[in-house]
Amino acid sequence: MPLLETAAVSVRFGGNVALSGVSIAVEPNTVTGLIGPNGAGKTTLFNVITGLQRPAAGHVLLSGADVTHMSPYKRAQRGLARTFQRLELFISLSVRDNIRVAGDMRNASRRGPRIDVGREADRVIELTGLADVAGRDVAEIPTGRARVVELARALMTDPKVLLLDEPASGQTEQETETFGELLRRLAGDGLAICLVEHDVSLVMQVCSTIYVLDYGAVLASGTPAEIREDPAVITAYLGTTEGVA
Amino acid sequence: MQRKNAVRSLALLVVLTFITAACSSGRGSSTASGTTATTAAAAAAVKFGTLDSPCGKGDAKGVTEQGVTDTSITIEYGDDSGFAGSPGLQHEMGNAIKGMIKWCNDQGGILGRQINGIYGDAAYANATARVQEACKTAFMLVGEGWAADESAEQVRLGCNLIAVPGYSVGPNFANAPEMYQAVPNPDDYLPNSPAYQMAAQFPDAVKKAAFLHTTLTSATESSFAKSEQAFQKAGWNWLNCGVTINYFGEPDYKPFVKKFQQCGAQLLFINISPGAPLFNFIQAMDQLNYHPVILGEANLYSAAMAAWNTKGLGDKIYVREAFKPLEDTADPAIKAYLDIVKAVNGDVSQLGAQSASSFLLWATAAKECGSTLTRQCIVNNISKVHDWTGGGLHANTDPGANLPPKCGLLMHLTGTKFEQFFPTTLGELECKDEYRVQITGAAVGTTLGPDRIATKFLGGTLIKPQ
Amino acid sequence: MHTFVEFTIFGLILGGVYGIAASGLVLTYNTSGIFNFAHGAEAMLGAFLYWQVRFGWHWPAPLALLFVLGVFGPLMGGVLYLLIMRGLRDTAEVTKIVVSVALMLGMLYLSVWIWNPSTPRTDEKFFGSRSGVHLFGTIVTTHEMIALAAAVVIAVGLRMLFYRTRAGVAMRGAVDDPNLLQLNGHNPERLAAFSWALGAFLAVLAGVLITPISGGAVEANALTLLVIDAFAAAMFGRLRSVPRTFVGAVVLGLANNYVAAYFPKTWSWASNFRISLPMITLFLVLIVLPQDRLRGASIQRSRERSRVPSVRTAAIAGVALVTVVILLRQLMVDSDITALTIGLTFAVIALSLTLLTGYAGEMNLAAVSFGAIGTLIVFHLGVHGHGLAARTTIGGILLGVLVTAVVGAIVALPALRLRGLYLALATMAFAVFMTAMVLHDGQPHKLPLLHSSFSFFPLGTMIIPAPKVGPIDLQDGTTFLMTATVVFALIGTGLIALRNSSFGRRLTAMKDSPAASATLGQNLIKLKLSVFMLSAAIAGLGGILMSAAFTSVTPDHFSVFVSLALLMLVVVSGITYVTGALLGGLLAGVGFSLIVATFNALSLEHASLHGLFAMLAHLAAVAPALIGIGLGRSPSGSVHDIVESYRHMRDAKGVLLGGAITEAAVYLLTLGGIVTNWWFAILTVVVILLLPVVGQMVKPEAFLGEAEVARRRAEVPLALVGIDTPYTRQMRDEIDRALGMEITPELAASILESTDAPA
Repeated sequence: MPLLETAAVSVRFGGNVALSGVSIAVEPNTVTGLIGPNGAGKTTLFNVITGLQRPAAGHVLLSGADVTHMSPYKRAQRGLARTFQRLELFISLSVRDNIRVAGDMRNASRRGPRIDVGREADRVIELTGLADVAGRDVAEIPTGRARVVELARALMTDPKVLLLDEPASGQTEQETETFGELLRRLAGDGLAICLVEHDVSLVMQVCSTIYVLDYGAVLASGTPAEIREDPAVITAYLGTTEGVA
Repeated sequence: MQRKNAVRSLALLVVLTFITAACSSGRGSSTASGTTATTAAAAAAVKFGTLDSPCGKGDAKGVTEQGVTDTSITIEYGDDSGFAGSPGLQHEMGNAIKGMIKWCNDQGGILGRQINGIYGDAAYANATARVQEACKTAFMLVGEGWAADESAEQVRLGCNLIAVPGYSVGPNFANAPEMYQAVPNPDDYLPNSPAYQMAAQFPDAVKKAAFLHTTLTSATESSFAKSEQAFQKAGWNWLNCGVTINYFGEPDYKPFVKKFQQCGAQLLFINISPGAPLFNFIQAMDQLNYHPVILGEANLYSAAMAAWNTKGLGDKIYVREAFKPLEDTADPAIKAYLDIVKAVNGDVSQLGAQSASSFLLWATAAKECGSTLTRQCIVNNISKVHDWTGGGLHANTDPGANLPPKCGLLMHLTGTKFEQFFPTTLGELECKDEYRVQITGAAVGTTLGPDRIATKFLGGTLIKPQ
Repeated sequence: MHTFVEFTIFGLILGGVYGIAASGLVLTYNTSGIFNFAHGAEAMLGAFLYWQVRFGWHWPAPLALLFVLGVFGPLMGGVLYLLIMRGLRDTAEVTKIVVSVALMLGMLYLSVWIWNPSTPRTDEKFFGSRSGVHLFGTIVTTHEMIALAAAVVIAVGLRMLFYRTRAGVAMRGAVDDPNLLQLNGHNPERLAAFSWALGAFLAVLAGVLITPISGGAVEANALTLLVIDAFAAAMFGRLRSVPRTFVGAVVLGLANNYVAAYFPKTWSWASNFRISLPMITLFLVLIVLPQDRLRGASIQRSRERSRVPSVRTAAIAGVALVTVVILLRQLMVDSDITALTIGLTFAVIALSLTLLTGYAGEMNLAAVSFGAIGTLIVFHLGVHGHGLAARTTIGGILLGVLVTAVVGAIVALPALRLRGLYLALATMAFAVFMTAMVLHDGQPHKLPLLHSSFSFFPLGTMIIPAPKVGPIDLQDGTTFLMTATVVFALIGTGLIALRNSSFGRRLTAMKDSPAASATLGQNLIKLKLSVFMLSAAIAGLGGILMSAAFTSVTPDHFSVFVSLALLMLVVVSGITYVTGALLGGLLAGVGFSLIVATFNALSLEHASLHGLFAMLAHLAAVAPALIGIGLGRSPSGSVHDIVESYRHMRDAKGVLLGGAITEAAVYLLTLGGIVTNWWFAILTVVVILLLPVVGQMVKPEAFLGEAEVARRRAEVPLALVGIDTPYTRQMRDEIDRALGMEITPELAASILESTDAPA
């Protein structure tokens, strides 16, 4: 059963249709890609899933339960986590404290046994390779590393579903490769990951399913191989086949 | 760089501020005057109006009490002129005492002891601080006018600092122990002359009288409670028109004028001070063509009220007074007061005259004490004074028993001047026994013991008359 | 029926008044994102200036109007923008609010300075008060009709401006995204200046039109208070829609008059209720507003910065504070002790702001009103004994704190989903409501069921005796002073411990990015509620202590203006610092009123210098406002600046030691009576503020870093080296660097190698 599903979600901003009838499903142990041109509605869909945006129509289901009218924090407590396209780090805190505070929030919500925040933070820092910047202010580290901090922070909540909004933007090629490996590892541990990315090669490498969004609607969906060949996708987004990895 | 500059300029500002302040002790310096005026008047018997001056040479000696030495008596006085909300508030009272001290010292002080006056500006909120200072150095408080007088009572009584203020504001101060005033206004007795005098002049209007309530209880409602009770004895009938205005100002006064009109009120009793709300209210009355008679409390008798009345909209305002009008410069007491204050470049007002009268009351009692000048002695002496006019400044009062005058007059606002309306002779007061009415019940405003002393701050050892 | 028609006419006129007052406010907010608390003060200055030119200098009406409306108004708005508002971009919401509050206070003091309140001034109606029409038993003057017409024109005109003109749409866009606007070919600076000029024009127009309708008396406070009431009308339109603002204004005007006309006279609370109507309406409208989307950090990125000390540092600082106070006590006389105690109690109230606004980023314009709640409880339920022996009990204090926390929760609950400005306005509505309905409730009411009469604030004064806890009797001045100091130190240290704890981190997270916090599972409502309650409790405690320190309090002690002034001074000192709360609280409770009082006393003493001292007194009164206005330059507050400058001195220990020795010497001299207290204060302030400057002069490397020092030393242009200054080796290296001919060790080594090689 998919851990995350949207069913015919539609969003309007005044006269502008941002999403129309979008249905996606994210299975556990997989990384699902969500690609498309800028303005296609990817971040808006994430906002609907996490509860920051109310849809005009449609439903959001977490592990089969309808959470469409649930407040964001409740959805997060049910195992939903995300990173943001425009970094939403806690700029007054250090890297370590950014990660720790997510653990503090987990303890405060009392939805499971209390965790040792310090130990868990160290584990996550180790896992994401942030040990060398852990003591610094988040405002001072490069964007690429900052994105990893957001991911680490999200991992502190022990999520079942992870939404990543352009996490590789600002990362070097080396960092992107490490990142891809991390994603595969996390998926292997049971997470259902949904990845919005413009780095098409990364998407093709790590995702088992890809949805293509264009003008608020799902243009195509399928395996990376299928998407690569799909002429509509090529026209709308990918460009000529030469450019694709 | 910019930050440093800002910090530096702030530092300079602060330094400049404090340097200037450091040139003075900051609490007000003494106004001891050592000039020995040897005018011809010094040789002859000096009078203040009809009162023999209590000041003069002598050879009193002895360090008999705090603030009293062989050669000097230290008293504290003051007002609220530093109050940011109303700059210069009651500064006339401070001016008056400053003038009286100089006048007295010029004659040789009190039996040769020069008076050392410490000025204290309570700026409305700091009465407690001033009293704390006085507790350390002063013999007594004389002629002060601090609106927050009640807030300092615990401290004052705690150090047994006797007070002879120019006026009293708080209900627990008006009937306080260890306090005497030249013109008492106790909680349980009201000078009722205006009720009778207005009833005589406007017999129909007083049957349809109404009061302009405000939302500030301490300013208007407590004093009205007394008048409400007392005026009925003179045949007044109060209509309940249900008009309460925001003391701090309404955007439009016409609705309230309309209510008075609908209610049929022909006489309005008003006790808010002259200012924007009152002026706008009268303006609104004019716009709705409503012209009742207005009786104002003594606070309406002021330069500000007269200066505003250029269009004559306030020409039906009558103000009750127990004081002789300061316009009556022929009167020797008034003249003496005006001259004394002019000599120190001060301003005059009713309350200033009250302070001057309190000073005289105190000085007279002090002279009688001779060398053994103690607080107990002053208390003993003042408590025996039952007929006091301050040399003719005001109606007869009873400071010893803390009773207000039985006399009064009415002033009438005509254009930008006040004229005495009744009695018709300028400077004459009408006196009758029934003009002093006892107030009972909740209108008293506080709990008084059987000796008419407020019970709120009792508990220590107090200096009582023997 | 007659009554109804008459009061409806009054209501419509009042509605027009509120509408005109609110329209400029909506315009400014819409086009600059800043809610201008000083709007009423601008109107007031307009009314005063109109009086001055028209009735003081007898200019003809058209010329006077042209000058005031056409020249002064827009000029004032433009200048405000250029000097102050422009610098507020990228600052936190609280900074914007504090600056406009400071502006309001500054303008109020300025008007008192220029136009002495003891002279009455009247702005006559246009065409006089006789000219008008008789309508249903009442006369509606020509002036009032002009005002109503102006209201309609403004409503229609603004609507057209915003939606039909290019400039209007661009003005609205300037708030959302000035960069985008610039890319589209507009000049956001010019648009902003224009919108402030227009806003000021509307304010001045309001002043000129409204003052005669009220009755004509020109007075400093009236218009400011009226505009505060008009906030409610502005909120009807959600600060966006001008027509809806006018609808709200009419509703308010009518409601005010119908209550006056029809509420039974026996309802003794009716008049206070009528006065509170605008604030009640404001609160209700704010709560009913549709929910704002959770905003993220990127929208709120601001220039404020702060450092968090450790608990150990805080504890040490607390002990140091107590020690300093003990030392100062030896120098002080009784009245100084009371003054300092009052200042410290204000500092305790200020700590509630440090927690709520500094740590959690939520706003509270009603800090002192919560203090009033604590005071009320203690007064009614917490006093034991009689007369001079009366004392406040510890039970009473605890009860007062508890009730204040509960009331804080009740007030906060409906307002919790509001952010920033809206929450600030809701708390302000509460503060004004508290003052009008509760604190001014001096008349006893008959309580039907309990057969007794009750009023909150009997006779308008409350006497709060000193607290007594076991053997500790605060009646003694020194005991009270030390207790207040210890209480402050304990709560301050506690707050820092809180900040360093999980709760504190979560507060910071919520402040930095509510969206991210929610998506991490944080229940924002619960967190906000708990911090609100804690903050209210601290304010309650501070208020109780403050009232006991004053001994007797009046409603004025708790007015919204006191809360605003306290907030302003704490923000200027540093809202995120406990030290900021100390400094701000001391300034609010003691500082400026003391300085003003001193100058007034001096001006009375020295008649020859009367003018100078009077001016200095006025300057001192305006000073806090000026400092607040300067906040845009240094939004982190002065404590931050001072702390930063002292941080550098870690490497300049000699300077620190020198400063400490100087201070000790001054203290001993004062103790010995050789130097007066005033000189002690001056010299201490001088030492504290100038020590970093001295440090920089003596040991610049510590402050600036080696490279910067070298750069500054080498201020001689390179071309003149060897002519103006001797040619040193350092200079040669620098020139090499500048020419790109720097010889690094590797390069030198390789050159040597190559030269070693045989040709």
